Amino acid sequence: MPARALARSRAYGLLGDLFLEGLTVSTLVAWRQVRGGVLLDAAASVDLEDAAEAHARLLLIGVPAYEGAFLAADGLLGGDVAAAVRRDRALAGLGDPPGHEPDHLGAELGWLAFLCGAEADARRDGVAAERIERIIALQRSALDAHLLRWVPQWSTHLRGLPTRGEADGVYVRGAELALAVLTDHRESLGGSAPGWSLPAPAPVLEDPRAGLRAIAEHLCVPCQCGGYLARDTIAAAGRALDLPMTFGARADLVEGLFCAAAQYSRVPDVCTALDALLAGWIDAWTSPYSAPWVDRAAHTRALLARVAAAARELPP
Amino acid sequence: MNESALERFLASMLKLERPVRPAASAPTNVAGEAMPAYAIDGGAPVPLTEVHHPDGRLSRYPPPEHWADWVEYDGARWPEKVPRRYTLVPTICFNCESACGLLAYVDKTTFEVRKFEGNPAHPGSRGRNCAKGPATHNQTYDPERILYPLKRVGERGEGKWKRVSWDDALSDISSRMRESRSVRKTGIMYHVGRPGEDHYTNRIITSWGVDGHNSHTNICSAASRAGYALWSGADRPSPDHANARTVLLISSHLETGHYFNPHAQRIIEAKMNGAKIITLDPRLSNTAAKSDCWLPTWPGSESTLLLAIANHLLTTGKWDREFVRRWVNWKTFLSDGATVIRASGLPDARKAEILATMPGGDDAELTFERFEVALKALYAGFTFELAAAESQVPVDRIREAAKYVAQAGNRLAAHVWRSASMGNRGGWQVARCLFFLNVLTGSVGTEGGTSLNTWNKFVPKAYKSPPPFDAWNELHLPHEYPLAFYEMSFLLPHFLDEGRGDIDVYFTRVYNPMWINPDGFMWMQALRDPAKIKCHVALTPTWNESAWFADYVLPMGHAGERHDLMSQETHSGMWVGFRQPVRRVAMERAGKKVERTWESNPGEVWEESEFWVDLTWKMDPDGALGIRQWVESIREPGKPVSQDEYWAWMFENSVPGLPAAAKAEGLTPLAYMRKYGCFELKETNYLPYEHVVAGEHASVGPEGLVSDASGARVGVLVDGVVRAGFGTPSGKLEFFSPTLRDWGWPELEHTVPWTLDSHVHPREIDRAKGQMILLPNFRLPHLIHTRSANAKWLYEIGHNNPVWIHPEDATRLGVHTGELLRVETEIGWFIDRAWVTEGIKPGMIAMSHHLGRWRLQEDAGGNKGTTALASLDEDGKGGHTLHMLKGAQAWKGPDPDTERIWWKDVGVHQNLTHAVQPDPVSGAHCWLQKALSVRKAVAGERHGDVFVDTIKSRELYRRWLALSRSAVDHSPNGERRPHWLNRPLKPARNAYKLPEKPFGRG
Repeated sequence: MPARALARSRAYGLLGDLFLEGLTVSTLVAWRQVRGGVLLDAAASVDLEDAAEAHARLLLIGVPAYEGAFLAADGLLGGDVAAAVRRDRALAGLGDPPGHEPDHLGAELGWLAFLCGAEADARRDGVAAERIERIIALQRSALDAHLLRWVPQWSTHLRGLPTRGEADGVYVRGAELALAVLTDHRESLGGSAPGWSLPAPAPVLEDPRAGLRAIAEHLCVPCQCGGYLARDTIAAAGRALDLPMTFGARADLVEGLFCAAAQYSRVPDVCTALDALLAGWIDAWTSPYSAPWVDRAAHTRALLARVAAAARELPP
Repeated sequence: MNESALERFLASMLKLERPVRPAASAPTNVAGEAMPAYAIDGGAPVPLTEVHHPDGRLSRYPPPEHWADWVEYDGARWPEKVPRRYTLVPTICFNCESACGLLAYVDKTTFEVRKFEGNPAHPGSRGRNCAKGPATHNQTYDPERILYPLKRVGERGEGKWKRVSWDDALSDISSRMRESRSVRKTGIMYHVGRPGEDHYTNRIITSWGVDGHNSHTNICSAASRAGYALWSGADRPSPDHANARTVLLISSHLETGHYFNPHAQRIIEAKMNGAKIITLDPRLSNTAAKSDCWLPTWPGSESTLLLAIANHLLTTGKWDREFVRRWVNWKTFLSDGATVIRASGLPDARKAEILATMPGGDDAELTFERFEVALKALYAGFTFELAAAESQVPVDRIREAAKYVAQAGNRLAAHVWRSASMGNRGGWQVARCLFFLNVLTGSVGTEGGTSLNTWNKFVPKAYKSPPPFDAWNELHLPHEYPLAFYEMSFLLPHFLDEGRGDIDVYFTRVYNPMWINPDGFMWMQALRDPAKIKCHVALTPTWNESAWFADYVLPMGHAGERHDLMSQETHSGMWVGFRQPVRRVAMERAGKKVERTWESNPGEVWEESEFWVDLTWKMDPDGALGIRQWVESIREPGKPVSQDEYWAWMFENSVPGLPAAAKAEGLTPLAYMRKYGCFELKETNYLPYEHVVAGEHASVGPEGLVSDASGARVGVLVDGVVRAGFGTPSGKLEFFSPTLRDWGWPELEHTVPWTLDSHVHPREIDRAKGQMILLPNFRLPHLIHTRSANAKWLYEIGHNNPVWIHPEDATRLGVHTGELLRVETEIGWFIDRAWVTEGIKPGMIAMSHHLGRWRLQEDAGGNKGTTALASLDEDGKGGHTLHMLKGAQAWKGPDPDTERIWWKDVGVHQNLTHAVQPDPVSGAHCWLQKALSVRKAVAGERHGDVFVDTIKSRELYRRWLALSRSAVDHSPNGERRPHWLNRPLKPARNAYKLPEKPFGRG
């Protein structure tokens, strides 16, 4: 099996570079060597400036490709989640990726590239079985405790973003490819998916002082909401309802959306639109790793239903 | 992706020529707005405190519960994420009078101050600061600042200094003070600049038993103060801008106002809530540009315009008749005003109409209805048309302003500070006329109206207070100016010059009189003369032109290097703020012992509060002079009081509500103030004069003033109820001023709100001969009066003061923007560049007053990036010349920022060419200058050059002095001054007796 491990290692490395740096001169050469045009055709003409712009727009602004953005209780980067990734990487003797947070998707894929490369080397060199088992345990841990808890969700949200050009497709297809490799890798390791849970949801509506701002902030923390409300997604919801949109941080956008809806007595419509989004997410997430996300999205649907009902009771 | 596709992909990986891994780089920053936010590694992320400002903006601050230990990434290390630990220490800004809150980020490892930001707990500034607040950091680390006590070595002004210890400086200065105090009570003078502090130094000076307080106020605000005090007993307005319907400003308030930042943010709040803003200013200031109604009045016409609005209110019935009836001393006007009316220049018919309302001595006939008739008749002549002709403003715009005032109801917020009041002879009447509109609209102390400073400012008491001194220093308040609202400080060099006295020990405290006062060369002569000023001690955070001529230059701290108490009437509430030495506080939080604040400040920079204690202790080491007791510890008798003990007593015993607030947080009051830097005593304080008061009613005065058996004031009887009233002799608002009448100014135009001819009235300016008005009393908002020159950041925003000139005048003179102009005043001339703009009224030129700093040595006496290198020459016949040799320049120093000085022009020192022009009533310097000629400069006349003839200076001084009316001739009771009028430090009553040998009276 050293070949399989080596193939995974290279796949993870190539994908990791793609997500970390975007499509660059050097990664473009590598991707053109990949048979079958899984990411892009060998002869495809790619504008690297467009690719760099798409990389920033999709992975930094659109749906941040960080584990912390999805799993941290407050949705902030660099906190406990990143620290946990840093600790787990250190168990394999791997330090921080230069210039990047350790919980960036590209860095986490690079971590697996390292572990799979170690496995391939070990198998090739015929080292003791327990050492190989230890390497595989680290792979399993990386997949179970980190990547598979959030990459399916991230991939779904990335796919939901509006595309603006050819370069966007590179990253969307790259996300699908990465998820496929991760899933295949995990299946090859055997054993069932361990149970896990998201941080407990804040009882936002139980606080009588909670206003639209509190609701907006709640919805903008992925592990509270059950998914990531991207800026484009919020704006699209506003446009579909013909409501004026504000600008600012995502919480400002959601608060602005609710405020505008309140002025036009359309808060229930906003709730319905968001509910449809959440329902779509639930339908997309069938893997056992996604169960906590499905539960959380269902919880938020109930919350939105309460908001809509309260809004309907208000005098016009 | 199906399985076969995945298999193909993985298979292709084995044939991959693995590319070289690209070098890592930081993620692209796209516009920043959506960049993910970072928490702190290894620690729980701290949500910031969000403050939603009333004007709709949002700010975020570190929550106070985390101030003791705050972690931020080091911005200088970006893109690396290097966390730094700070302790956040609040303090109070030291760069203007507003006393805004600052929060110092002190590095817990190095105890260096990383930055100053706003303090969200401060009720006045609410976390917001202007450019001057954060620039405190620039001042603290100014590479040119004075770090150690210096003593003069050569002749005064020679620029030779040696470093001395604090102990040596204290010993020498205190021995001179002891010697002076043992022979007289007028030999020590403390001349305070700005910003001030509340009470501390005044208490110390009082403890010395000398009449030693001198201030800058007569070049600042004395005229406005006089106007307000004569009305109300309190000397400053406190407008509730935020809740006003109409904001009426005679100043450039949004850019330079008093109090600039706290007022400006509330004026904008009012505007966003629909209030109208009216601004009187001949210059298109930022404030004028933001106003709904800009009235570019010819200087001196402001009172006429205000009285035209008053007349409009009276004739249209849009005045608060009931408020006037209850609170104005109209009975006194009816009973005592006949003589004034008869002697007035009113038309005969109008005189007769008014006199008919004045019944003589019969109290029963003193009815408000009669007063109403008199009042309307008195002001009937002030029409919009008259105001338009005087002010040279379109009549419709004046009508519009009147409409806005009328619709304000009792929510008229009005303010004047310098501007017209300090510009014109008779400017104190501008303040009276402005407050007249508050009185007529009943917007006195109301929500959205105009309160008085004493209702919104709080000064606590110290642990013990020395008694008033029994002395009167004629160098402060000479007999010629019995009503001068503050000391005649700017005339000091003339007083010394004509032999009125001398000074044993002269302290200038954060004050640069030679540069900021008019007639600076007269100051230079005085400062150079050791027979007039025997020892000059400059207490200053930075070099200045006056310190150059001192005997000692003692470095005193900036905002983060000193203890002071501050409170200001910034809005409708009431608060006290605590200025702190932030490095000392940080060290003490870390368990380090600091005996004296200079141990924790840069170099040996000290603070005045500790300095005064040690100096006073050394002045009276054995207590024989009775002085030492006032700085002696209670806890440890025989030792000087420490700062901790001093402030702890005050906060525990003298600030209502503070002990309880501190207890609620498990803190001592001192610890509470060290933590928050401020305390809010009252959120609002409306209509305090209406408070019902209890007490013995031994006597009731003609206007209802109630006194007890000892003669002490109880309150004012209004419609049968005793209320708190106002601080005037009558307890009412004094529309008619018996004080002015009794002290030599009995004419109509002095005793009631009226117009007075300015020294720059159109009759005085012969425009046909090319004469113009020079308007010098405005400044740019990011600069400090005399102390910006230690802040490169501030000078980078603006550093020159060109001459504003209207295109009509520029065409007449054939001058274009950037070309040199020669401006001749009554005592000299200067050369500056022209800036042609429609933002100034034709017939006037304008020039901001705070620029044009200079130094006499290449490497000393000032910052090379903010001062010009200059030379001084004298012709031996009274003529003085200042030549600018070199402008600003970049240089290499410990701060790399000094290499980025890109400008050369640092302005022109125009004040040297201003004659002293003391208002004969208020004593305030009248800043507007008569420009005898303005022309293009010719060959040989260089930018920044200044010439002054001090012979003419003396002539002008004597001409203005002749306008005064001495207490010797006019005092009604043999005293120097009305006792009820405040002084910064009030002597014992005995000192009020007129001198036996008044100066100049044989």
